[in-house]
Amino acid sequence: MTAHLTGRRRAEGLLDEIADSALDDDYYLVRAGEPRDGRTTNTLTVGAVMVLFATLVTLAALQGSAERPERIQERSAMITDIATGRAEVATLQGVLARLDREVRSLGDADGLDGRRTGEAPSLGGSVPVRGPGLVVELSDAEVPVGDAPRVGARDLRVVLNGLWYAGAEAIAVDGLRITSLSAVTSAEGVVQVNYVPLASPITVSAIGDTSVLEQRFRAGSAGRYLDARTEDDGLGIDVRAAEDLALEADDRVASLEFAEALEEAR
Amino acid sequence: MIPVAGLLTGIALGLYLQPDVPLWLQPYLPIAIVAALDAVVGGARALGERRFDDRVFVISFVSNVVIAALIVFLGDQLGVGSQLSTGVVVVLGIRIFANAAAIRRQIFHA
Repeated sequence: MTAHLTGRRRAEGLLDEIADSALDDDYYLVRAGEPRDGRTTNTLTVGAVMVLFATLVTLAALQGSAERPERIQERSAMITDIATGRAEVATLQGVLARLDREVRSLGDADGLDGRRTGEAPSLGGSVPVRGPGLVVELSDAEVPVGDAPRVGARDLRVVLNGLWYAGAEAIAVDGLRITSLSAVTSAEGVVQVNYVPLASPITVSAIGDTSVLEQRFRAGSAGRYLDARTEDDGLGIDVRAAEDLALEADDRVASLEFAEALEEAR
Repeated sequence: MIPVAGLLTGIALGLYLQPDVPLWLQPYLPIAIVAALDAVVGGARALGERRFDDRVFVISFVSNVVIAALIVFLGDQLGVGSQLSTGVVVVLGIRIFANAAAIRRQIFHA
């Protein structure tokens, strides 16, 4: 409409059209009646509209400036947090480096080698051991009818690996010592340790620092896996501390026939 | 004279009263200002072309603000509020620039 009123070319695109008809068409409509020269700005209505406009703009400006300090404050608080975090990381890295050096220098010292050799039989499982530790009891889910989810070899392996990772020094499953010769398998859904079938509940005893063991075991991936198994499948998993555990030796380790210790590896 | 006085009065009013914009109105304030700016720039251009009409100015101002706010409100209800606001800002922005260019041509003949 504007195009033909002003005699300009017709716009082709939508945006051209908008740019072309930027001025409201009504301004081009000459009102019938009194002839006007178009300079009727000095009216109260125009004044009122200008008051409204200025108030709106002022309000928006005020609001923007009111929100700014908050945002700046938030930002600077965040920057401070980051700086603090970085400083902490740097400090901890320093501590880590110092402890690393300490550990290395202690390892170089004489005492450790002897201790290691002394511990080897108990860690290897060739002698009976006793001490405080953790008992983990795994039992099948209780379902009124049908097939209940059962404790599988995978569950047991996760528990064993989790306990080793948590710092266990010796582990036995239902009295069977777990050593480098142990096998955890399953046959037709029945868990076997060293090819001895086990029935639910399966008791895993681990010797180690009770609190550290329990904490690390629960916090590790094994703990999370078992939580999920309990929640999803209803397996019974009971972890408790034990004051005094006695684990028997695995005779097979004591009677190794072909493997011999190397002198240098002492 | 009156428009300039109105402008100053409005600024003074806003600074003096500093009313809290109600929360439900806050999303519409920026878009209402862009719409109002379009009407004001359009009025200025019409003034330069000697076709200014106070009635057209007032009606275009009010309808611009109301329609812009309405579109944003509708968009908010439909879940496309930000997209519709963008559309409104684009259209009004083009109009503002076109009108400003016309004013510039009027003043500088270039």
